[in-house]
Amino acid sequence: MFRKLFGYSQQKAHRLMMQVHTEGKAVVASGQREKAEFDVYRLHEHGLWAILEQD
Amino acid sequence: MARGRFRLGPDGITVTLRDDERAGLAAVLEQFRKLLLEGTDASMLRFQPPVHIHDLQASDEFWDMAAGPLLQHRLEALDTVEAGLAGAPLDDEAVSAWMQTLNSLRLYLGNTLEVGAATFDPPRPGDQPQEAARYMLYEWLGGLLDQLVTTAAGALPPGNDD
Repeated sequence: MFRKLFGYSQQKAHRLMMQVHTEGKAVVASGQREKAEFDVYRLHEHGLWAILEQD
Repeated sequence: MARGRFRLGPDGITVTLRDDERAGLAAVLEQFRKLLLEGTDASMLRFQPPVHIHDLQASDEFWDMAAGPLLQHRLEALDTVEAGLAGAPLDDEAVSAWMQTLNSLRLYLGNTLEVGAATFDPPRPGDQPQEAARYMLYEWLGGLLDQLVTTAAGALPPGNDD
């Protein structure tokens, strides 16, 4: 899913997937608010649970 | 579960489910459509978490804009999956619809079973038959999704590490 949505390599997508699996969450994307909200929308579109945190 | 439910071919990905699997999935999809349309089941709240965890007003604004289109998108994806049960090859859009729907179903079931809780213990058929059946479905959908992702990944470009 991360490969398809964000164009990540298999290695990076797998690392993020395992981080979600073992730690319950992972930072999968970052950026300005509008882009971040768009990414959240796309993740929810794909049945993935996503929230935003401000640095 | 048995392997080989999805096969990559020249016209896309072909779905091959047994008759009982196809009928079972069709029934689950219909129930999920009702849940989506009613929107009253407590476990569906998981589909609209506070997106901005430190700003509830911003979260409300986000969902005011996103809830309608997202519901429409989920219903359309359901339609696509139902259509794909007949066995016609899935194009890229249909593959996405399958992944989205299988993930959404798992998110809902996982939430009702509290799979993410630290104290989670898989329900046993003897003690909790209804929860055990739901957990079996959760696992089966996971296996199906895993097979689809593995099959679809074979057709993706290498990607980047940034």
